[in-house]
Amino acid sequence: MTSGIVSRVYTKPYSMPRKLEFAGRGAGAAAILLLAVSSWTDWTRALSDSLVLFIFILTLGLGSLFLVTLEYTVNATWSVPFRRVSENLAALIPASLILALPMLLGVGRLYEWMHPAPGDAILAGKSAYLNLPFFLVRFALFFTAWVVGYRMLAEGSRRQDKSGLHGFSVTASRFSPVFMILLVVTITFAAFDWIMSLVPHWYSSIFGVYLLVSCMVAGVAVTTFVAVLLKMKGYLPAEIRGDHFYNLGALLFALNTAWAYIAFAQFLLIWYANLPHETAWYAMRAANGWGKVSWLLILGHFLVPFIALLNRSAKTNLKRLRWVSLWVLAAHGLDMYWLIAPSVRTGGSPFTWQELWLPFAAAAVGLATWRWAAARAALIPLNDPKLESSLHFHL
Amino acid sequence: MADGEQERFEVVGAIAVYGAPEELAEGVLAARAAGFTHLDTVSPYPLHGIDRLLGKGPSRLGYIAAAAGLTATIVAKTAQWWVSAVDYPLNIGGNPLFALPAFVPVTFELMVLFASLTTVIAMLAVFNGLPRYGNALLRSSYIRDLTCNHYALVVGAADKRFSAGTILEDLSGPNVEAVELLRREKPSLYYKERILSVPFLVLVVGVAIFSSTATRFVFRYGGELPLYSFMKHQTRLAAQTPSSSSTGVTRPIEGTVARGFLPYAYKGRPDDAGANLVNTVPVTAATLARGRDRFTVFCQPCHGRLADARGTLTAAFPKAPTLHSRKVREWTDGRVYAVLTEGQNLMPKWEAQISRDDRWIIIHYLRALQRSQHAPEQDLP
Repeated sequence: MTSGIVSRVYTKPYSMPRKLEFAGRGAGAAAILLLAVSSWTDWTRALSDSLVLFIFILTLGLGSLFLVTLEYTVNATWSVPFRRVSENLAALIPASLILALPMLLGVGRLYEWMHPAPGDAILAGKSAYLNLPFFLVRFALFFTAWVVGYRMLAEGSRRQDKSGLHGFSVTASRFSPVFMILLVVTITFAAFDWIMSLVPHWYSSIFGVYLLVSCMVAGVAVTTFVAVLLKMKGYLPAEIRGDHFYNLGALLFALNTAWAYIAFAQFLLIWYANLPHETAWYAMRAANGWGKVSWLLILGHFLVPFIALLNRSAKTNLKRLRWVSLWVLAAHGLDMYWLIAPSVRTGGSPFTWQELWLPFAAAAVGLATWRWAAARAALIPLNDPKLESSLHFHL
Repeated sequence: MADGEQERFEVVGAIAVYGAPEELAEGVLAARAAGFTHLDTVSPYPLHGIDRLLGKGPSRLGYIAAAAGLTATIVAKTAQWWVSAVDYPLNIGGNPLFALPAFVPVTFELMVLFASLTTVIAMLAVFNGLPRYGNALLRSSYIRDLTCNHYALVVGAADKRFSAGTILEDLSGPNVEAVELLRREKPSLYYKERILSVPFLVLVVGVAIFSSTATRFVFRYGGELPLYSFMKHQTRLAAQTPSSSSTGVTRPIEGTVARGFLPYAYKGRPDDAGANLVNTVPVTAATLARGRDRFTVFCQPCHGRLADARGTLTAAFPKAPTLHSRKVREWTDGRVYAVLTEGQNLMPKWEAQISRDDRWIIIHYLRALQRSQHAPEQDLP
C-alpha cells in the first residue's frame, strides 16, 4: 500500500455519526411501536409483513455476498474499493436470522401445506418435501452455507487488512466460484420453500431464477447506494471517480433489465398457456387492487430505472446514481411484498397503515447492521493486492 | 522529394511520435493548449481515457442505436398487429388477436437486430468514413512502431492552426521522438474515393451471385437439407389409402347401416317376404303422385302406362307381362316388393335404383291401377 493514504479516514474503522445513529434508533423505535399496534389489530397481516421484511433484508445480504463472489470469480479490478462495502452489507445475512423468527413461529398460519385439506392429492404428493421437519432442516442448511460463506469471504478479507498476506486473495478466488454455485442452488430452493410454497398448489420452474436475479439487483443497488453516500461524505479515497461508479451503474442497469426479462418470461408463459392452475397465482395479483400494484412494479422496477440509467453519463453521475439505487431498493421491496402478501391474505386493500412499520424496520435493521459490521475494519480492503491498480482504474 | 512527387501527393496531416502513453497524454494537452482542435491519437492498444483528454464528447452513436431500436419497435408492433389482428385473424387458445405480451419477444428480437446492424453500419459509414481505399497513416515511416510500442499524436490538415511549413516545429517537444508530415496521393489523379465505385459494386454483386448460386447448388445436389419445406412433403395420410389408425379411411363398425337402407332379409325367399313384409307407407295424395312419377320412370317402359303390358319399348325388347293378372292382383304387397327388390325372370332388380320407400309407394300406385281396371261393385257410386 502506498504510504499516502495510510492515515486517511477510510483506513480507520467506520464510526457512525451521532445524527445517523439517532435516526436509526428512532426508526427502530417507530417500527416496534407500529408493529405492536399492527399485530394487535391483525395478527396474520403482521406475520406476512414480517416475512416480507425477512426476505427483503436477506436478499440484500445475499446479493451483496454474490457481488463479492463475482469479483473474485471474474478477477475484477474496478470493484476492489467497493468490496468492503459489499462485505459489510453481507452481514445482513446473519442479521436476517433474527428476522426469520416470525416465519418459523408462525409457519402453521402462513403455509397451507402445514394442514392440507383431507383428500388433497396434490399436497399429499408434495408432502415428502413440504413437511415441517424437512423444512427446518433445509432452513438450517441454507443459513449454515450462507453464514460460512460470509465468514470465509468477509471476515477473511478483514483479517487480510491486518495480516497483509496475499494468500487470502488466492484462497478466496478459488472458493468463490464454488460458493457461487452453492448460492444459486440454495437461493433457488429458499425461494421455493419460503415464498413459492405460500401457494402450494402453484409452481413455476423459473421462480428460483426470479429470486436470484432479485437478490443480485438488490445487492448491487444497496452497494451502490451506500458507496455513493460514502463517497459524497468523503469516506472513500479521492482516486475513486465516476469511472469506478460507472461499473456499478452498468451492473445495476443490466441486472434491473435482467429482472424484467425473467419476470416477463414467467408471466408470458403462464399468460399464453392460460391454464387455470397456473394463472391462479397471477389472478391473485390482479384482483382487489393488486392490479395497480402490479403495474406500479412494471413502472418502478423496470421503466423508470431503465430510462434513468440508459445514458452513459448517467452511470457516472453520483447524484443520479444515489436516487436511482434508492429507487431500485424501494422497487425491490415492493417486489418482495408483491410476491408474498397476496399469497397469504386474499381480501382487503394491498396497503394500509399496518404496513407503515416496514420501511422504518428496514432502515433500522440496515443501519444497525452497517454500524456493527463497518466498525470492525477499514472501509476499503487495505491490503488487497489489486487495490493499487484498481484505484487507477480508467474506463 | 522531386517536384513530380510534390504534385502527386497532398499533405493531410502530421504526426508526433512518443515512446510512452504518459508522454502522449502530455503532448495531447500541450497541443490543445496551443489551440489545435483536429486531434487524434494512434496507439498499439486502446488507451483508456484518451478520448476525454482529446476533448471529444460522448459518441453520438447511441442516439442512432436508440432511433433504430425505436423504429424496430414500431415496425414489429405494427407488423404483428396487422398480420395477427387485421389481415389473417387467428384465434390462438382464446387469447386476444392483438396479444400484446405475445408480441414482446418478436419486438425485442427485431429491436436488437435493427439497433445492432444500424450501429455497426453507422459506425463504419458515418463515423469512420468507410469504405475507402487506405489511410495516410499507412504510408508513414513510423507505422510499424505505432502498432508495436510507440504512440502518436495526429493533427489533421483541416485544423485552422495547421500550416505545412511550421507544423513540424509546432509539434516538437522534449519527449517527441520524431515528427512527420502525412501525405496521400491526390484522389483526382489516380482514383476516385467513392462508396459506389465500379469495382466495389462489381465485387458486391459478384459475391451475391456467387454465394447464392453456390448455396442453391449445395442445397440442390450436395446435401439432404431441402431448400424449402413444401407443404406437400409433410407426413400425412393420402386419400383412399388404408390406415390402421383412426385418422385415415377406416371400415365402418360391424352392423352399421346407412340411413334409409335397411338390409333386405328375404333374399331368394319371395314367398317368405310375401308372408311377412307389410307396406307401412301411408296412402295419401302426395304418395300416390310420387308413385305415379316413379312408376312412369321405372315401370311404364315395359309394363305400360296402365300396367297392361303395352309398354313403349317394343322390337327386340322382351314383352313384359300385364300386372292385372289374377296372380299379381292376389299377391300381397310384400310379395310384389320381393319382385321389385330382387327382380324376376328377365326383370332386373331395382334395389339399387329405387329407394325402399319409393318401392312401397310404387306398389300403392300399382294397387290403384289394378283397382281402376278391376273395380268391385261397391266402388260404383
